[in-house]
Amino acid sequence: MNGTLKKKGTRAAPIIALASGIRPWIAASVAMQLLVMGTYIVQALLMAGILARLMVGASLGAELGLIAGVGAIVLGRFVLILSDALVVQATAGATKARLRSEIFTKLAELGPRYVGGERTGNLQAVLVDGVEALESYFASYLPSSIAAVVAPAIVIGILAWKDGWLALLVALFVAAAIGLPPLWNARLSQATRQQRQAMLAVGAELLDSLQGMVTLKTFGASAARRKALADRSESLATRMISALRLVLVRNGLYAFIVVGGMASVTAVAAVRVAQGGLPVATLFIALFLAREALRPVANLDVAFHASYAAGVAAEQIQQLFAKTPLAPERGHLEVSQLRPVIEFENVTFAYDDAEPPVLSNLSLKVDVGETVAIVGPSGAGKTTLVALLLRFVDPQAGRVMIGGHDLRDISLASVRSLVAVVSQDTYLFGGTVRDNLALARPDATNEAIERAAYLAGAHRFIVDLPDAYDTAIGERGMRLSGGQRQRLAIARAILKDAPILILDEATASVDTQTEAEIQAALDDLSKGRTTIVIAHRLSTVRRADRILVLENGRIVESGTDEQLRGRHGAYARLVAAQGGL
Amino acid sequence: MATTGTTGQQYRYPLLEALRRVRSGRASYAVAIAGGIAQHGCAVLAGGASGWVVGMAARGSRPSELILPLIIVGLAVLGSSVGTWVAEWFGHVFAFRYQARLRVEIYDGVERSAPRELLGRRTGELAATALADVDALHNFFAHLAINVTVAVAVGIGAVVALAIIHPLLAMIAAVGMLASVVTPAVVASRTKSWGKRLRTELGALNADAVDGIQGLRELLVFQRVDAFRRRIVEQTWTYQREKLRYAGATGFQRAVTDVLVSATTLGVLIAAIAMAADRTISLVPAIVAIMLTAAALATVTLAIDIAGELSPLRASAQRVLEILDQPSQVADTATIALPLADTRIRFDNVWFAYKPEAPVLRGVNLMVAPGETVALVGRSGAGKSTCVNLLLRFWDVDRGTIALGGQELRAFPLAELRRLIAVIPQDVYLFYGSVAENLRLGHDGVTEAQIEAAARAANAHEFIMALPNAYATQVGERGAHLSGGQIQRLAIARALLHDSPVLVMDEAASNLDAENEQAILRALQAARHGRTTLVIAHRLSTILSADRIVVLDGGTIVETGTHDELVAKGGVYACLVVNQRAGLLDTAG
Repeated sequence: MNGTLKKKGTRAAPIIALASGIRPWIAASVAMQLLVMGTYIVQALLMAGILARLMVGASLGAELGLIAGVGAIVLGRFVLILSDALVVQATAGATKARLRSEIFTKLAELGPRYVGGERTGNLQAVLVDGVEALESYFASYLPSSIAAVVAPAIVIGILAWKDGWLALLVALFVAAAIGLPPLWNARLSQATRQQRQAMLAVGAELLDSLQGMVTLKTFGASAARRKALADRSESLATRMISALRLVLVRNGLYAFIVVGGMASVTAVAAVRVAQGGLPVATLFIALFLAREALRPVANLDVAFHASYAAGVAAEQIQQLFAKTPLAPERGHLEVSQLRPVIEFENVTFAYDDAEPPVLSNLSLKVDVGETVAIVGPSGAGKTTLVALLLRFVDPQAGRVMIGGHDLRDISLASVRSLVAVVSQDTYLFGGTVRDNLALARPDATNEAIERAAYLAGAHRFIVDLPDAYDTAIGERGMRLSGGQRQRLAIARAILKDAPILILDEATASVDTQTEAEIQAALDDLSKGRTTIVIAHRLSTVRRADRILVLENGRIVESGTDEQLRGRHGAYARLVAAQGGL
Repeated sequence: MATTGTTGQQYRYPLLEALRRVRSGRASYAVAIAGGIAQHGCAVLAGGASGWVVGMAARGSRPSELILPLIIVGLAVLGSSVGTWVAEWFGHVFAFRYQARLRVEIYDGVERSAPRELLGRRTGELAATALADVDALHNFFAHLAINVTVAVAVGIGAVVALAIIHPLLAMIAAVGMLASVVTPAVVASRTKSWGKRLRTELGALNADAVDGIQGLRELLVFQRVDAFRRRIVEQTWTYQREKLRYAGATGFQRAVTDVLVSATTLGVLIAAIAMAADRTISLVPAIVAIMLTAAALATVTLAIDIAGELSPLRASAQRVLEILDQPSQVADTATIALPLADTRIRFDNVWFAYKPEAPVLRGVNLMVAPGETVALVGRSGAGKSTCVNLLLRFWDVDRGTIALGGQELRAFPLAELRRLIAVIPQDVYLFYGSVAENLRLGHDGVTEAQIEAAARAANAHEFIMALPNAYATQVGERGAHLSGGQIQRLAIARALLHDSPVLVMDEAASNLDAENEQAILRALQAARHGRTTLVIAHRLSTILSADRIVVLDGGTIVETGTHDELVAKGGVYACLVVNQRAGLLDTAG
């Protein structure tokens, strides 16, 4: 028993810990549910009273007072049940809003590197479904567990006052209902967890197959895949059925204790009345009250199952909260007027200590207003430079500086206010075109937004959209082409008007026709700004003041296009590979 | 993209329809229901018999007179416990097996319909929801359907038993039970539309979550994390307000049910005692009636409580049935694999439309000789991909014929046809699993040596070996991050491994970096060797290496010839070539 209690304790602790700040709400909800139970007990007593008095020949008319009492109790409970339903939802709302806020803040702290390494679906599940699942804990399990203790205690108390033996009998059955089934919990929770995992695995595989169905059909592989899936699905069912034995013993035990408990109490009370050892009135009280003592215990089991998902969710949320950010806020230097000079000083960086560093002892400097292009094969560490400069990650050795300050000494908000990025994959949010542009500067006027769009070459296609700037885009709206998305990204960068600009493969995912037009807009944008251009296609970097060739985390060449071509080194090889463009 | 007129069928009673489709396991289900009746019927019996015991005792009977009713109580308790076990065991066994079958049937439905769209969504997307629906339906198959049936049976049984005692008591109980069934029905019909709103708001919340996660980088760079956090909190409350309204309705329902149950019990109690007082019935049956009513009401309310979940379950069943009833796009009637004389592909006056009002192909005549490589060129929407869809018989032609080796496509069993044609698609799908599994695609006979040979030929071996676990490296969303060019080379290796005499390639229109472009070009040349090849081409280098170029425009073939001939002609092709940049044709339209 000790073991199971302890187990319950560890399960409950993280969930309760997540509820800090809304405890008064939870207490109100629990209190209401206890009151509901109280009305059941009083009603049972009144009914027993009516029955007992009618039995000894009281007229129905004389019982009108008690009957009216039952009516009042029933109406009172009506109000309680209704308002409890509302309080529970209000409590749930407060909990969820608070938790989602904290989880999202944590995700932002962990940054794109962490988030990018997880499946979107998993994080989404924690943020939405996981938090939703906690509701069953606060709304159902928590009040039920309190009720499961309080209600039997009251009933046993009342019975003890009438007759000690009946109280003892009820107490035995309650103890059995609370104590016996949990003996199966340890084995059961292990089986349940394994089952859940097996179920998720089969589900994921099936979903994967459905989404890749065209491929399976094309390669004539759908029949073989079907057979494998059918086998796995069938064997999952078999496994779940075999685990069922455990569950059902436990459920059968509950049913037996509750129904048997009520019957036994009634039987014992009746026999004692027949023997003349118990007044008839007590018999009726026992008849009605035994049910009120055992019912909450049975409900507890239902609630326990309903809140299973809450335990899993709470665990996931706690795990997320326990993660340490890659680049924690450390400096509090608030700067808006820094000289936009970028310096990397002997920077070494590895995503994983076990892996070879992505950047090794790298130094570079980009002066105010200078445009520096960084080229190199994929995996050379180009994108890592951007992550370091935005301080999504910190270097293991060396320093990254803007205006002579180590980024770690500047507040994260300041670092990011200095830099605008146009990257390969631009994310558009659910909302209008205008919302998506205003992301870069929430206080921008409509004129400023349209001007930015115009400069980015986006105005023309935007006004052609069904509702122009008010057209809904993103996941829930219009789909835009790669080129259109890029132009919106450029307009965002224009609006942000930061002194440092990063073009991270900005034209890599657009078709060639639009590439030149976008390039023109980018050239305008980079005028007067300290700019880093990261590119695969050499045609887009030729105009840079300086080109750095990155290979295996080191800068192997540096110079202008012309100088580097003449050097017949790494750059010249890249040029040759691209057909001498 | 490719839609047909198929819309989802609406089922009047989707849950019953889902049950009606059960082919095996009906016996388990009947046993489960019998068990449920035993479980709840015996509980009611135990209640009634307890009333008997109590009545006898209250009347002043001797202990020995209580023995018979006590034995009945004991047996009823035992019967109820055994019934519980039987109902749950057989109900769950039925549900698990049926769910397993439903999942496979969903697979079959998608297999029949892919790559068609259903209700404007890709069938695969719809199926993802349907899989969750099958999980949700467990509750219906294993609990709800059984409980409702049992509640009706036990309710009727209890009313009949009461009628034997006195018709008035039966009437009060019947009215009470009916009233407590009607309330949820009324509430459900009122809240039906609310459920939809609830789902919409939850959908919005999910969309915000996805936005916040996938757009985190942008939010950080533009310092909009706080604003977005507030947005999520606001949406949480918007959703919660809908839930509150819904909770108000269901709370009302529960409260009304509770009042009705108490009123019914009290009504039977008063009537029974009143009748006992004027000797219409005797005292013991009066108490039996009271206890019987209380126990029967417990069973009925149990069913009512869970009946609140009916409406989302109906929606689930509807979605599942829609997928299950997907018709086949084409009929697979041929049974004998024909000997193939050669691998000539011939399109003869082919007409085709996804939607009747918008024909995509209007009389296409196209021939690819054995061993020849033809580049199919044209603006987007010209019908290039449709030609491939028809050649693979994802759809059948509306008019005209397509033949392979002189035989009409319909003469081949589908499996045989797809064995003969290897495809390198534009959008390559990689499954969760290792690189090797992704290349093998379920064909067990393929050896590791063959996989490696194909990967080498596709210029993929080197980068695969550089992956953490080489061929055993997991790919997919959580697996190794492969570049677009690397994924395309895997697709080429896949096609090579398929070793078919006919090769179809839908070239990706996106930019590639130089290394990949070179590698892919070389791999393709290897893949084409000795095969009849049809390439939907965007890259000038690919087009130039073809034997012949066929230009598709507005659903018909407008030009055929070599690059030089077509450029000299100054038509559609020449126009495309003039507008090309960096080796990619301007096919954006």
